[in-house]
Amino acid sequence: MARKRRVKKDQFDALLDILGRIENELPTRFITISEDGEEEAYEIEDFEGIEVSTIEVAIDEAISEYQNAKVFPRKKKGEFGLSELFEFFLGEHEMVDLVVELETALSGYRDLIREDDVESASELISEICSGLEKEIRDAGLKN
Amino acid sequence: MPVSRTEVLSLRERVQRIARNERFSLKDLLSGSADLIVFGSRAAGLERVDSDLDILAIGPLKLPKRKGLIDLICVSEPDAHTLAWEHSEIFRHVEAYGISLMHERPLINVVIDKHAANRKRHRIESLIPKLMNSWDALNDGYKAKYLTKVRREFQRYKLLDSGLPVPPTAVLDSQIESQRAFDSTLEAIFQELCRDDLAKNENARRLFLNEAFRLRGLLAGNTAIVASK
Repeated sequence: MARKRRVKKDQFDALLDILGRIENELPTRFITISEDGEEEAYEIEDFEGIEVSTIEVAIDEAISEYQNAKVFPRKKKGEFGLSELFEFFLGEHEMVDLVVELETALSGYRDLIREDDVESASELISEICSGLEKEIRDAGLKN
Repeated sequence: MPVSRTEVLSLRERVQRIARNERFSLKDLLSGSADLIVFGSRAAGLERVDSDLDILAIGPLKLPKRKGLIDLICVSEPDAHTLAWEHSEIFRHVEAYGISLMHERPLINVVIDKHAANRKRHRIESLIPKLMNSWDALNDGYKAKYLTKVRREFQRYKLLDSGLPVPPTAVLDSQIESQRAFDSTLEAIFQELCRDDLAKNENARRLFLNEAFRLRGLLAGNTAIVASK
């Protein structure tokens, strides 16, 4: 198991950004329409979920981007998966377990991430983000 | 696939060992299921140390679908008899390569038609444009991962389209022994799947083939072939 590293603020921000990108890709059961200045939420009836590959490509694209910007390191062999990346920075940490759970939710069921997995993924992302924010505060890195 | 009692007992021991390591109660699983079937590389004896243990549980259980190495699919008995499962790629694979830990044969019914092949075709058709859109933004390791994925999915599609079950991934990988075979497999993908859009077909075909050639070193490391078997 990797040990915890000294994580820089831009690295924490990049991890948070990746989680935000995943959340943006997740479908929602509700759409919000603005009517006369007021926002109204409508439920989508035939909510089918999202293809696993859509999220997978978005994650890999984001990690590549941060590697090219030298915020994340490159691996000598293969590339980072999401939980490997968190483990690289945080070592043995309960947040890594949450990211593994997130990966499980995002691995879907027969190629699709369905409604219950979308819900778990959203909850997990929120929990992981709170954990990262706490790490940032604890490390005295908050702006 | 008929298997001897000794093979089943040996597999059961290996499954129990993994379940113990992952703190997963196999006893609960066995007592709560109408059938418990191991499939994938471990059933075929082609596993590596880090290979998943794929289990299909038929029964009323609602369990986490993944715990460490254990990858569990729970299907209720009524669902197991629906079109979604009886016509599926996974049931066809399980019928051909799975080993039941409880019965002589897996307790599933399989219908062979074009449903699984059409589903796989749709999956590849939706994956390719996504990859084309993101290709330049991906680093080489990820590109190699997706080239491998496209190749494997295409191999699976061809088998399903011929009415054959899909073997474990290590078997698929062993069919691609040379770069030439890999190139012709990828070339066939775009000839078959993008007929109605020749310009895109040509671009995708050229891009993937060039990249496959450029990344052949990485791709060679992306196979699940078990050297010792």
